[in-house]
Amino acid sequence: MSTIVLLTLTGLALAAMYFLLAAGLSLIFGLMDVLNFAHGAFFTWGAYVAWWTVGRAADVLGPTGAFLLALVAATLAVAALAAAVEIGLLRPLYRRPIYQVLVTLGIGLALSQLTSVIWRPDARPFPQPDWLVATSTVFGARVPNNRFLLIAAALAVLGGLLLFLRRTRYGLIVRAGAENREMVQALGIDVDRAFTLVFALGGALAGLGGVFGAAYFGSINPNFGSVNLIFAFIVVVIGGLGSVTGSALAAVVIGLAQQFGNYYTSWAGDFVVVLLLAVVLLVRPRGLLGTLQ
Amino acid sequence: MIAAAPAIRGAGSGVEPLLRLTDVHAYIGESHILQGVSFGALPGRVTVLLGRNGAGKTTTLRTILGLLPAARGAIDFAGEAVVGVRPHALVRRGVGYVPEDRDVFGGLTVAENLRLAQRPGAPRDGIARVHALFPDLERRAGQRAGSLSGGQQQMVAIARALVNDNRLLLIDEPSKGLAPVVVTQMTDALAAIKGTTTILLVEQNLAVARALGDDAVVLDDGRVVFTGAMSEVAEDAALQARYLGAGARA
Amino acid sequence: MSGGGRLRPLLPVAILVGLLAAPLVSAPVPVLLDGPLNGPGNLQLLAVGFAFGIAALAYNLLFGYTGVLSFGHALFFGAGVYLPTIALGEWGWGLVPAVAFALVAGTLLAAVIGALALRTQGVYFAMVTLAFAQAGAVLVGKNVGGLTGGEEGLSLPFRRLPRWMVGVVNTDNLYWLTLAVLILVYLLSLRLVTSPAGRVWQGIRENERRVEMLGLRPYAFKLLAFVVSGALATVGGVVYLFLTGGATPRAVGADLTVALLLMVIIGGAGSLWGPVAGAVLYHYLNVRLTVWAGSDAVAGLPAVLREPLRDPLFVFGLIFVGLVLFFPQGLAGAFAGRRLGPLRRALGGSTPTLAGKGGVE
Repeated sequence: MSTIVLLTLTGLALAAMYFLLAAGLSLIFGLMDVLNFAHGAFFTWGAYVAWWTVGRAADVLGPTGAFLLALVAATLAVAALAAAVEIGLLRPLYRRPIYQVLVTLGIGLALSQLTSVIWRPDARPFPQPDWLVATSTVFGARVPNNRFLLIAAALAVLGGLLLFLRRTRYGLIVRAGAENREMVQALGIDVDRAFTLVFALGGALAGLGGVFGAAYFGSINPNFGSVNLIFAFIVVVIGGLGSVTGSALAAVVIGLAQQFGNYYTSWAGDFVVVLLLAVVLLVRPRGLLGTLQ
Repeated sequence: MIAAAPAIRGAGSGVEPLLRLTDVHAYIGESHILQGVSFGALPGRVTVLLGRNGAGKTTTLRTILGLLPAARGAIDFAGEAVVGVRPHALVRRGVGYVPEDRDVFGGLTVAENLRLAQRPGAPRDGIARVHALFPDLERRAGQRAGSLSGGQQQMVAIARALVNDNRLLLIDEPSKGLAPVVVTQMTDALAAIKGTTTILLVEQNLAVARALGDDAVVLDDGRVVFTGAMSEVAEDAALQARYLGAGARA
Repeated sequence: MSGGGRLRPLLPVAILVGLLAAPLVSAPVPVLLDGPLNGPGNLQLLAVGFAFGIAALAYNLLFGYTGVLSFGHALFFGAGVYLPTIALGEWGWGLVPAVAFALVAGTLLAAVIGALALRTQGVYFAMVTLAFAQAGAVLVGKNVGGLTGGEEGLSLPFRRLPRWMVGVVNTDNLYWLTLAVLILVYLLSLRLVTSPAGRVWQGIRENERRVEMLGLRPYAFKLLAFVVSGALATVGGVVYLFLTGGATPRAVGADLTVALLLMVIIGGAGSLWGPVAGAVLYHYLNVRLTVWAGSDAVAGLPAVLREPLRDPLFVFGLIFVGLVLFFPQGLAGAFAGRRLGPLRRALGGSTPTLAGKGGVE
């Protein structure tokens, strides 16, 4: 029983991390048709910015204050990075989506390696407040508190995103743009600005996810993001590109399947996830929930 | 009669056209679709663009909007050159666009479609106005536009343009694919707004074109082959047979 | 192709003769290579480049000629690397059956994955292929079934190979073997892309719907391209195995697929020799950048420049971005004088798109 609870909660925390990555990927693809391969690098940068911030601020603010500051710093820094990438490198290629994807691949490669250049390739422990590492006992299972924080953060992001999409004018533009970008322009709306906004928003979520990912795994390294990116891609595709709710749903499925599978043998989890993707796509080629809602 | 070298109407009459195309060329991929299109749309009037399928009518509208780049030539709107102006910026100068195939946002509700279409400075009563014109839309405000019938979607598409005050309306085949009853409704609705704004209308249905049109421009193979009064086209069976062909339904 | 003068047709022949003769030339190539041209290290460097060239050529039949973006090609390359090793070492097969087994298995694998994955399109297709390759990488990396040696990999059982293929002294033999295979694959590809099927591939790349309207099934032609491409990538893997003498999980990883894509982009998608040149250049830079980074000239640079230059992947990332932005036609485009290509495309030309949106009147 306690093992099942532990695996479930850890799986949900993993799902939460995948969701933070996948939600941005999904929005970006939904609006811009760009599968953002730089997203893993954004995640990595979020983790490194957080690590750097904690290292500077811990003495002044204490561990909790430094962690909170790191959350803000990573989110903002990666959002700015993403906006710069979008404006500087993707905008010239708006009419050539396949080249945009290729550019994000190159950017992802260069940005990930840059962390290795600056901070060396080796893994580094990620310092976090004691209360995050401490465990709480739920039905006999001892679960680290950062798992709960991660799940709560993902739920908050999900709620916020749905409100944004359903209740704000920019949300309306994003949903409409995902359906027919040209018609949005023809209604007098500057789609380019919406692109930059969505790309920055996706970057912000990836940065935030990177901090929580660092807390989840307890250490960071330059390949940190690209490893998780593949699973986030799988989540996005299973959920249906462009669907935030679909991503949330798929993240839960993937997180749980992976945790439970890997508990039995070291490879079963990853393998099951891939099989799930293949099966879902062959049965429903557009994923579980195929459009923005 | 068929004019050999199409003159730009209004040039001599003292009234400046609100929209004027001069020798406009445009490509889709490698295909040279518009091969030197010149005509004008006079303020307050309905100019109908006629021609067979593939003659370049839709391409003309898209090129005016800047959705397709004009490779050569000039487009003037309200006395200003607009080639190279980005589509959203041009639209904000007061252009409404009702695309071919309607292109409503199927995942959005009717109300959301209309709200999205309201440009900065749109009149406060814009939505009430289109509800008065299409009462059906008010009843279905909360319904997903994708679940509407073709005729209702066409109403949404037109309403999306009419929630703003437009100086120019570009309307692409509003009767396409609709049942005759619905075509009549649509024609009545457009007749109601006729005169309030300048309209450039692409229409293959001659009855609709005749009911709404003041002036006519006939395109063939990306070139203007006739400009004149709509009534002239309506009466010229030879012209119809030659340039409107099977696409024209009297 | 335009211009070039009367010598132009002779250029490929000259290059080919030069490459064939390379193992006989002991003259040094200063700056570019260490030691004589026919030193084992240099021949190995070129030959591994050729092996990647075979895989890049294969990849480009799918990406450059058919417009299908696969993120799973490392799987087929990896099959060519791992399967002969396992058949030779674990099962005690002879060289010929082991290689034949790898080629048949790689082709079948491509047929099965292609048949499934091509039911989806565009980015979904890319993801499904990525997922299959990832599954392969997991199986190999976690040593499922105890066949693959896990993270350590396997080394080729040299005693089961003919003597002419083994050892540093025989590098020239392996070099010629690789070059011969490359030439064969090149000629086969040339034959394919000029065949009726090859023209359909290019038609699909330009406009899939138009192909459909001609009454042809794009699925069948895309599957053919995928299978041929997968089989030839397996060939590249086999040759790579003999050159490097072992199998490591890197040969099945997503990084290798990205590398193939890089080679094709560097060389130019949509040309046959471009990706080969791109592959050779990629491998050369990958090896030489590390050497240069340790050189005195680089050591004298300030840290801001020195440190990034030590990291080939970082440099490749930047090269890649620059190429896609400014030379989307790669080396082949630059040489063919098609500089107008990017401009024409920027103006809304016929570039393959992932989503297949947009339409005509």
